[in-house]
Amino acid sequence: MKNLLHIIISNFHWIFFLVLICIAGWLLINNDELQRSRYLDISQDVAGKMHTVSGTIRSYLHLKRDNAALTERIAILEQELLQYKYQIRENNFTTIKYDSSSVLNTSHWRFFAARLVHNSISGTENYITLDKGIADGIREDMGVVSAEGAVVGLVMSVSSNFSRVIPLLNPNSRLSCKIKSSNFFGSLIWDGHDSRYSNLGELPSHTVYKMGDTIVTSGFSATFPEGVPVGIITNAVRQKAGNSNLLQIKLLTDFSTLHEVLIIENLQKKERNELEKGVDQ
Amino acid sequence: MTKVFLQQTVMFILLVLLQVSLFNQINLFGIATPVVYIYFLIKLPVRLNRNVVLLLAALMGLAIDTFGYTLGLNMLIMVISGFMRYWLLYLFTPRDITDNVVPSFSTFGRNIFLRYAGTATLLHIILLNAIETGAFAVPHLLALRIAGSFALSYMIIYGFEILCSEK
Repeated sequence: MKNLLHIIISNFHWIFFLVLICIAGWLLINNDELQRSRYLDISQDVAGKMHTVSGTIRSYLHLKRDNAALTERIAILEQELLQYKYQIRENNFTTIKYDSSSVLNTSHWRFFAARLVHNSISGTENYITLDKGIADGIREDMGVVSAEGAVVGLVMSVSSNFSRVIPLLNPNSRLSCKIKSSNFFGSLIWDGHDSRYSNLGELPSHTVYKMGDTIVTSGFSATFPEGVPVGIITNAVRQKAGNSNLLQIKLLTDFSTLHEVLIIENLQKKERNELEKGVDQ
Repeated sequence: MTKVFLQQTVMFILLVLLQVSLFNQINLFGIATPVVYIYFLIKLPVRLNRNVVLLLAALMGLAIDTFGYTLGLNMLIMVISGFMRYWLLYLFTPRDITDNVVPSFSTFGRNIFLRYAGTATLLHIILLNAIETGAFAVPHLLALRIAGSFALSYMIIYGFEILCSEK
């Protein structure tokens, strides 16, 4: 008995090692989205505050470039505004020609500006933290786009002052998209390799496309308006299993330099979800 | 001993802050991300109790996980690295060292310390990338990520050690 006790004590580090491995393994494997969200709600506020400091410093360093991008965006918007003014004048101030592919019809979409306080692109499952939370009106499942207007991701969880976004650079993220020119739609899923590219799958074999075609949101989910740009087709692979096509998409959002974003709220989302839920039942 | 304890505490906090706020954001050429918090494990005194080493390694991993949103991943790798540290020290510690010294250029000698730190960093980065990419692993990309991250981390750790030895 004494010997056994001695053996256990002298080899305690093995037991301790196995216990710690089990704890870490349990945390790693068992943290499904729900548990992850619960844990992160607590750690998010602390981590968010910490990241705010470094985020502020980084945003100062990028002010010049961000200003240039914003000025460019203003220029484009000004140009669009002029076009619409011109159209109104041409039509004797009565109607505006409505282009369904643009996001002109923004009556039930509300936008919130937010800044990134944490961003990861090097891992397989990447996440982004924004400096806006419940207190600013942010809720789960809101869409996020870059300052240039391209899709970034989806708000996954919210704490009082911060929100966590699951970006396109996460294999758990799925976005319903369509080819702008032909309206064929599929799902955009990241394969975990390159932060500049993603894949558009589940496209029928007779899909019509050409290299350089723009991919936009389909508008099938209540998260994004229809026609928000996502990326450009750069390559095509016909999948061996089944007859579906897989397209490689160059993402329009540069996640490595992302600092300012817009969070989109669909004011009609609740109504739409309730209706769809009622039909499903 | 109190001085070593204080130094290690400051190093723990600084490395967590640097790793989470700065180094995790770096992704050079899409492949290289520096992993420098392993420096904390490298710099623990050579005769420190193995259970304490494991506990500190787990805490460091958990801190990185908490702020970096990778629950469990870094803790798992740090515990394995902390466990392997005993054999690494057995391999690399000069035989004439009997005291509970902190590994450094001055105590180990520049070449031996660099070999010890390099091996510890490389093993850590191999484990981290292999477990992190898991099912998504593509062999040549994995090798590139490991090589890139190792080169970058090793240079930074070398820089840290030069700064520490000049103090």
